Amino acid sequence: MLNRLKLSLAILVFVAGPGYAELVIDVQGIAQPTPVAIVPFGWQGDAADMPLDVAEVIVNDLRRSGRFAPIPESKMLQKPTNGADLDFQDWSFVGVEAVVVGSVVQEGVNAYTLQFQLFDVFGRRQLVGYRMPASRGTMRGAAHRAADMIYEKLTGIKGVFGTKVAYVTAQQQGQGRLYSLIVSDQDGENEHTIMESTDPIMSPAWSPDSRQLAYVSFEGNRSSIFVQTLRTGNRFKVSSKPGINGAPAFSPDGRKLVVTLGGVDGNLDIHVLDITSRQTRRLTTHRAIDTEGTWSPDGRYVYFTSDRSGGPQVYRVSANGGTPERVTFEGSYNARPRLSPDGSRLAMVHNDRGNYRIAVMDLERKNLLVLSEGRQDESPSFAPNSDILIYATRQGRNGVLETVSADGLIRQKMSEGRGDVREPVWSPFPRY
Amino acid sequence: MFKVNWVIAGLTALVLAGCAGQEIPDPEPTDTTYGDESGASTDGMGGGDPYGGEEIGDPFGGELQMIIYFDFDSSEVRVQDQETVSRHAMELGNNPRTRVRLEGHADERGSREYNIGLGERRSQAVRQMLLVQGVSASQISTVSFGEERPASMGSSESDYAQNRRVEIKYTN
Amino acid sequence: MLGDSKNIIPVSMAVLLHVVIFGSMITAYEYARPTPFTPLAVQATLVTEVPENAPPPPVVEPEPEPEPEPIVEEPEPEPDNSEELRRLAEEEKRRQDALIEQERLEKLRQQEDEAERKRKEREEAERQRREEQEKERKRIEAERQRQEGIRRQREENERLRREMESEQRQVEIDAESDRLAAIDSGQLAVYQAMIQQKIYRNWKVPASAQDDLFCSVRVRQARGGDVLGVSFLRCNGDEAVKRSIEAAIFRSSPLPDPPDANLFDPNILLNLTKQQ
Repeated sequence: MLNRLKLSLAILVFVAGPGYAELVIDVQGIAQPTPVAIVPFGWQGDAADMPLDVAEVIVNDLRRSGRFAPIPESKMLQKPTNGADLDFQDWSFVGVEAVVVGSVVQEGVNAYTLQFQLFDVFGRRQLVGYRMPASRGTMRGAAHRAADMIYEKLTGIKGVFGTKVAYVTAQQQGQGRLYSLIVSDQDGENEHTIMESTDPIMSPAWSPDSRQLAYVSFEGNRSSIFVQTLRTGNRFKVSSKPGINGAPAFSPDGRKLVVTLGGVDGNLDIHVLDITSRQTRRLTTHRAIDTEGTWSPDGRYVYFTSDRSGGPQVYRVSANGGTPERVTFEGSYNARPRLSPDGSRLAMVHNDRGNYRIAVMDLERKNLLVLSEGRQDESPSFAPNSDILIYATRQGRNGVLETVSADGLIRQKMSEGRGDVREPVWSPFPRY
Repeated sequence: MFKVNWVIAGLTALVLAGCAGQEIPDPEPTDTTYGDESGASTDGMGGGDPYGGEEIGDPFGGELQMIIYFDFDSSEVRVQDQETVSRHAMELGNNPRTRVRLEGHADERGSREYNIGLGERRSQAVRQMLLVQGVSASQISTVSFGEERPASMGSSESDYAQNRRVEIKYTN
Repeated sequence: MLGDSKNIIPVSMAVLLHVVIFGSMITAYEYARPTPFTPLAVQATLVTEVPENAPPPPVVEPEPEPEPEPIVEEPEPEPDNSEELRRLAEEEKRRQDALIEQERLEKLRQQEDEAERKRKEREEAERQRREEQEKERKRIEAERQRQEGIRRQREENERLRREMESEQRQVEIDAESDRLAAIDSGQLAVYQAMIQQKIYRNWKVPASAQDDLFCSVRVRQARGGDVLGVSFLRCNGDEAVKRSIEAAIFRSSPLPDPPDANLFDPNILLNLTKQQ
C-alpha cells in the first residue's frame, strides 16, 4: 500500500510542482499552393473512355487558380473512385490536404451522371459531395461546376471556372490586319469568333445576363457602337453619330449603355444611351477628354476618365447627372476605371514611374496597390467573384493576357500563341 | 481598300533609289527624339546625277504632305507643318466639292479609349486650322483610330513618333 | 492482505470500528423499549395508607387484582330476632373487620410488591445507566484511539511525502541544471530551430490568409517526436488556414529529437504568422 501511496504522491507532485515549461517556437510561413489530389475519375459506360477527362479539367482549373498544387497520378498510393474506399492514412502519408474522388456513369445514349466527393485528409471527413446529370455537350460545363464547388469549399471564395472571357485579336493579313472578337471559356477552351473585320474592333462589354456583347467597330472608316446577341449572331447598331462613338458599358439593369460621344467638334463626353429608344442623355460637358465610362454595381454612379485637371484621372458622377468629383490622386496618369462586382475596389491603368501598370484602389481605405509588372499593361477586368483580374500585357510585339489575384499575390499567364491579343473582358456569372 | 499597285511602287522605288543622295535638310532642325521621319510616304528629292545636272525645284513647293506628326502628349500642329496645312486649305478652298477625312492617331502608351481621344484632338487641331483658313465644315470629317492603326509596330521612341499623327485622306 | 504486517494498523482500526458500530447497534436495540423516568432522589418509603392522590401506575404494571366486591347480602326480614340480630351483627362486624384486615394486608402486600418492583426497576435503570455510561466511555475511548491512529498515519504520510519531495526536488534540480547547461550551450536554440524549420518546410500557407495572421497551437509530442495531438489556442485564420496548419504539423511528425535529451518537452507552443 505504501507503494501506491508513493505513486499517488508522485503524481501529485508532478502535476502541481514546477514541472516542464512549454517550448515556444515561432514559424513565419510563406504562401504556397495547397497540395491536393484529384484522383482520376471512374468510368462506366459503352465507350472505352469517358467523353471528357473530368479530373483533368478540375486539375487544370485548380492549378491555374494558383492556389492549389495537384499532385501527379504517379504519387497516389490508392485511386478510389468512391469516397467509401478512401484510406485517410495513405493520403496523409502522401501529404495532401484534400482529396477529390469521382466517377462518370453512362445512363443513356447521351446521358451521364457525374459524381464527385471532396475530403479533408487530416480532418478525416467529407467536405462536399455532389451528383449531377450531363450530356456530352454539357460535360465540360459540369466539370467546371464541380471545380467551382471544390474551390469554394476549400478557399471560401466563389469559383469562376464556369465563366467566359471575350477579347480582341489582331493578325497581320497581307498589308492590313484582321481583327477578331472572340469569346472563350475562361481557360481558353471553346473559342468562338463572334465578329471579324479588317477594320479595328474595340472595347467589348458584356451585358449583365451574359447574352450580349457591345463593342466599337471601325467598319466604314468611322466608329460605331454595336450590340450583338451571342447565341444568334444578330447585331444592331446603337450609336453612329458624327464623330467619335466609343467606350460602351452596360448598366447593371442591362437597359442602358454609358457611351463616349465626340460630335463634330470632337469634344469627347460621357452620355447615357437607352438601348431600346436610342435616346441619349449627356452626363459631362467639360471640354476635356471625358471617356471610358463604367457603372458602379449599384447603378448609382458612373466612373470615367477625364483629363480636365491636365492629365488623365478617374472621376465619378451621379448616374442622374451632377458635378463630377475626382477619385484618384496618386500618380500622374489614372485611366480606364473598372469597379469590382462587389463594389469594394476600383481597377485602373496607372502610370507608375514611367510604366503603365494595372493598379487597384480600395474605395474605402483609398490605398492604391499596383498589381502588374509590365510596361504597357492595360484593360483590367474583374472576374465576377471580385477576386481575380484579367488584363493585357506585352510579350515582345504581341499582346498577351494575364490574370492576377486582387491582392496581387498570384499571377498567371493566360493565352499563349494566339497572336496579338488585347482588351480582355470577363463575363458575369452565368444565369442558368 | 488601300490597294497598292506593286509595279508602279517598284518602279518608283527604283527611281527614288537612284536619286537618293542629297536630302533636302529639314527646314527647322528639331531634337532627334523622333529619329528619322521616314514614315512619310514622300521623300525629299535630292539632286546629283552622273551627268552633273541638277534638278529644278518645284515652284509650287513640292509634293503635298499627307501626314502631320505631333509631339508627345500634344495636339498642337507644329510650326513646320503649318505650311502643309495651309496648302491643304488652299486645295480644299479651290475645290469646294472636295472632301477630306482627317484620321487622328496616337502612340500605344496608355489606355486605348483615352488614346482615341488624343487622336481625335489632333484631328480637330488640323480641322480647326482648315476651318480658320476658310474651308467649309461640310468638307471635313474626322475620325480617330487611337493606337489601333499604328504606322510603326515597335515600342521605341521613334516608333511612337511615327504613330502620333493625323493622316489627311481625300475621299473624293 | 491480512498476512501483510504493514496492514495491522488499518486492519485493527477497521475491526475496532466494527466493534464500536456493532456494539452501539446492540445497545441501541435495548434502548428500544421505553421505560419511565423515575427520579432517584424520591424517597421510596413504604406508606401505610393507600396514597389516594398518587398517580395511577402505568399500563405495563401487572393488572391489579380487581378489588373484591363487597358482597351485598339481601337482608332477610326477621320479625323479632334482636339477639340473633345482635349476634349476626357481631359476626358481621367480625367478618367485616377480617375482610378489612385482609384488604389492608392485601394492599400492604401490593404496596410492598410495588415498592419492590419499583426498587428493582430503579436498580435496573441504574444498572443500565451505568452500563450506558460505560459504553459511552468505551466508545469515546475507541474514537479517540481511532483519531489517534489517523493522526499518526497522517504524520507518517507527511513524513514520507516530505522525504519523497525532497528526493523529487533533487531530481528536478539535477534535471534543471542539466537543462540550463544545455541551454547555455545553445542546444535549446538548435532544438527550436530544428522544429521550426521542419514545420516551416511543411507548411503551405493558403494565399487567402490575411496579412495579420496569428495562430497559437499547442502540439503534444511523445519522446521520439511522434505528434500525439494538436489544439488551437487561438487563430484568426479561416478553415483553409487551420487545415493547412494541421497538415503541416502532422506532415512534420515525427518531430526531430533534441540534440540533448534533457531538452525534450512534451508540449510545444507554435506561434504561426505569414510572411509578407
